[in-house]
Amino acid sequence: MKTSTKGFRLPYLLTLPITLVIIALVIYPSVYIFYLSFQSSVAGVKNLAFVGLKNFVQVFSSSVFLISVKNTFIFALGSVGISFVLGLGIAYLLDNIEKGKSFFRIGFILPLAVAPVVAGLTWNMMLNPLYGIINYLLKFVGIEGLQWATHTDTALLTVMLIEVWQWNPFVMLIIYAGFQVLPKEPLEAAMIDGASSWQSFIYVSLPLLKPAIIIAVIFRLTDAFKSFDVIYTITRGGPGYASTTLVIRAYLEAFQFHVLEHAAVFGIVMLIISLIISKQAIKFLPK
Amino acid sequence: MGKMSQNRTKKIQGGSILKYSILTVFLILTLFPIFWMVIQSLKTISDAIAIPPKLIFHPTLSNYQNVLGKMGFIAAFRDSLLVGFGGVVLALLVGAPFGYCLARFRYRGKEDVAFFVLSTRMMPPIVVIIPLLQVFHCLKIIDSHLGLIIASILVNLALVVWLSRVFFASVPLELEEAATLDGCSHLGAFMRVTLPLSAPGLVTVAILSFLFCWNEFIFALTLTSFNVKTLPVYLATTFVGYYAVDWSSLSAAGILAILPTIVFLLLAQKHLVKGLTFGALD
Repeated sequence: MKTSTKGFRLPYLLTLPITLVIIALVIYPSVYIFYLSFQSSVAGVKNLAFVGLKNFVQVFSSSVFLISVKNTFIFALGSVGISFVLGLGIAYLLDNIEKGKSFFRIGFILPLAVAPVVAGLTWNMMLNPLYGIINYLLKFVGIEGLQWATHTDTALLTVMLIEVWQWNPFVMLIIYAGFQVLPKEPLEAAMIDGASSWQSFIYVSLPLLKPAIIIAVIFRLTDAFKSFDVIYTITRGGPGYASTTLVIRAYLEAFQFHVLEHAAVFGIVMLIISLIISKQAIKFLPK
Repeated sequence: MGKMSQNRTKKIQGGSILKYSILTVFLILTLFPIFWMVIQSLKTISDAIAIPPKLIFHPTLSNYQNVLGKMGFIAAFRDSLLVGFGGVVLALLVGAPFGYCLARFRYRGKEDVAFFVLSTRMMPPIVVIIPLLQVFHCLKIIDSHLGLIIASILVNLALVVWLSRVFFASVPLELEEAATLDGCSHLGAFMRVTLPLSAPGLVTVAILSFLFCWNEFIFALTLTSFNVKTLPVYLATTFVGYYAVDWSSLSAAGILAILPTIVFLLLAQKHLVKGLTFGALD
């Protein structure tokens, strides 16, 4: 009798700290941001004045809002898409070699240890159009160098490629783990039936890898969606609005232009998008 | 028959040469930025921005001396250590008990909390930063280690909960029950059986959390300024002047800043595969 009541209370006791943290760091801030988005902070955050939907109208009708939504989706979907193809390819090759597996695996995951700020600064140095090593090496093999982060056409692509470099190891590692636990029988059966290695990869391995792929893609997508460090260190959203994403714009609204209520509107838009993604994501995660 | 199998071996060899070549090319692309950072850190300021880039030069360690001689770098290193350790301890204290609950108990509300835990990972930083700035002002913990540590819970909470759940769940329930039958309390059984058995996994969680705290940027940039300046903020602001960037010192500082995390990642990488897949692929 005694243990059963204990068994009832203990889980709630252990859940208490995390519940308090969620209230303080998730629920309270979300409610406050929602409240703030209907106010004007012209007279300071202590003297807020209700302005109705004015902030939403102002933000939604500005061209930079649409550009940042577009850039955020291009950045997130693009970098995760490239990571997915590269990560899957490298994991497949890694699984199919005999010797040196752990050597290659350790080599491939090293970018995970590099702080995104350091990654951003280093790539910025390498991609400098004048004295950077990348354009020099490209010229060596006969390719005309790009302006990279300094040109409106290539700035977003540049920060996407750095994001891919930094986080590709994460995707690769999870899919590689998926390869490790693939059952052997379906692949052998496909071989006996005369399937080529490409066919057995597409029709046998890939469907079996689905859980690993879903985990990798969901986690990358949510992270890429709010990725800040690399864009901030290299372009701060520029040139112009070329690499401005929702996070970058929200940061600039709050800390450069000091219009907190506009930052709040950006925050709410992001909150809604991330809620939609989490609702979908939780269905796929293991219980 | 013999000829066929010979052909086959040749084909397989050819295939594996191709595989190794592709992997090697991608490995070089992956490691090149780190390699180039090391190279640049050994150049003088003018060599580092020479046109065309210098591949042959007189290596010097003076940049490392320069960086390590700066009070700012040492202070930033100390701040990063403090925030990293504080962040790990706090995230573990808050998250691991719930990870244990997820692995062991069935009770109402569990799934709801689990959903919110996932949402901590997806919170847009700006939504947290603006309210926290005001709360921290009131509590007088703005620009302090404590404030940054509290915010950094958000960075690691989901990771700690989901990973510790995996590692707790991998300890057989029967062992814990046997200890309870032998007269241990629930807490005693946990301390004597479950904790030691899941310790390697928890250490991995701690190492990974430390890595993410160490690299965290946006909270450090906004919630701290003068008193506390962690390495990412220090690096992003110090060597970047208005007209020029001191690339060689910056590279040296960057190398010094990523050394601890590279060591930690190498220590944790064996458990990483299991942890990153949240046990789904066991």
